[in-house]
Amino acid sequence: MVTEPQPGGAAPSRCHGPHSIACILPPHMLRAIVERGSPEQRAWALQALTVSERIRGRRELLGDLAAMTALPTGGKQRAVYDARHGSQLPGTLVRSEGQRPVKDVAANEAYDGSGSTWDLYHDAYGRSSVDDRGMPLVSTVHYRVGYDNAFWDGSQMVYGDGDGKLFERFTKCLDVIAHELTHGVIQYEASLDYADQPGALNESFCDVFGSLVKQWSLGQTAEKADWLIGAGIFRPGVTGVALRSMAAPGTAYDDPVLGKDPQPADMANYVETADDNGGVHINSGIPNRAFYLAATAIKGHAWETAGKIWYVTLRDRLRPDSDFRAAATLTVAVAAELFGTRSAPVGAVRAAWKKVGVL
Amino acid sequence: MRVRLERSGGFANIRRTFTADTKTLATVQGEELRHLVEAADLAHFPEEPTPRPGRPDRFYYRVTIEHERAERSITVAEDSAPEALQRLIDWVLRIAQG
Ligand SMILES: [Zn+2]
Repeated sequence: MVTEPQPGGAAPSRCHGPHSIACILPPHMLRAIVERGSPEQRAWALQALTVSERIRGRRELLGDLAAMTALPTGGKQRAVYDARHGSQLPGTLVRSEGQRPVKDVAANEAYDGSGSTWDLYHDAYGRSSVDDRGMPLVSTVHYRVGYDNAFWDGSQMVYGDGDGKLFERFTKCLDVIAHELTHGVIQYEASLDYADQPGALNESFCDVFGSLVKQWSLGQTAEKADWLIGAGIFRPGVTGVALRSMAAPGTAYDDPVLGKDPQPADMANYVETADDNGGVHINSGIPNRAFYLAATAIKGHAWETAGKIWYVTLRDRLRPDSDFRAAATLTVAVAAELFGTRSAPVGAVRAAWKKVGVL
Repeated sequence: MRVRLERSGGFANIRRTFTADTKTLATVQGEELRHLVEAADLAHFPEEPTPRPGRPDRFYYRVTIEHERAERSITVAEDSAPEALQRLIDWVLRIAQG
């Protein structure tokens, strides 16, 4: 039996942190504290609720609670570090939030790109940063020497300069930056396993929001967008337009040194492989194309309708082991909830997954 | 002695191969390579990488050492390569990319 805590009074003495509180107090008490407690109590009660509601997968309750409470949201907080070609993270701080541009192009690109990504998630979907709790966005540029890659390491973004012969610096493409940050969002939401179909979905959602941030920053409609990932990352001389094409998977590059874009465009060409964690960057072409087909059928700004459906599905419905079929049925269900069972978006989403052979 | 490095995975997921061969290297570099290979001690290394979930967009390296008709291959995720192996990988990348 638990003593009901008095709003305004001390928390029960056996509670030492939000996790233990979440185990002890029923959600209705936590909600009462969130609404009526002191700022400190509200903060820990909200955190405890976040934990317990996430465990139950009931995110919609939290949205209302977060809106009710006057907790500081913190706003956009960016910090860019320079690894100076070493591998120690994060490196030396070179630019933080609100500071003027520095001389280093890569540092400014990382700063601006993480800002655009933060803005799309905030303005279009009401999300506060990667964790939806105002987490600062940390980037490190000039990682290692001639490093041909960018990644999210579980808490920050890391960018290489590229080798300079085949690849440009990885901060050059806004969609690459937004892709990496979306790995962070996924870590805090669906937490899709990074292997096989869940892994390919993980990659696909990163490409989707990567492309959406780019389209949003350019004010482009679905019809006008290039639907490419990493356009401009290749140095002159490489035969290719980008790393991936969402509209036409498998056609992004075909080069004597780099080989040919291996992405399939539908389930009939699904690639079974042990490489690349079960082809996560390969089979992502299938859900990528499904998003492209849905967005272009719906028309207009892709982040508004198709993007919203994909975002809500990622936040509230997908689970770590969700496969392509689950993503298809869940996006159709979310479209119906958001826009109505007989709405055009529902038809467009269903037709898109059918066309790529998932439904 | 020949060291072949096959890099896969990463954001681009483009497979690339880099090699360093003592036959074509300057004597000093050849000696350097032998030392690096010895220090990396691949004989006592598991052939396949230990699965490490949730590491998006990281590289994998397959390192093959060919020496006096013997061949030894191991695969490692870039963030789990021990320091000595990482030094060998960096060295081969630098030499092969000029
Ligand atoms: Zn990725």
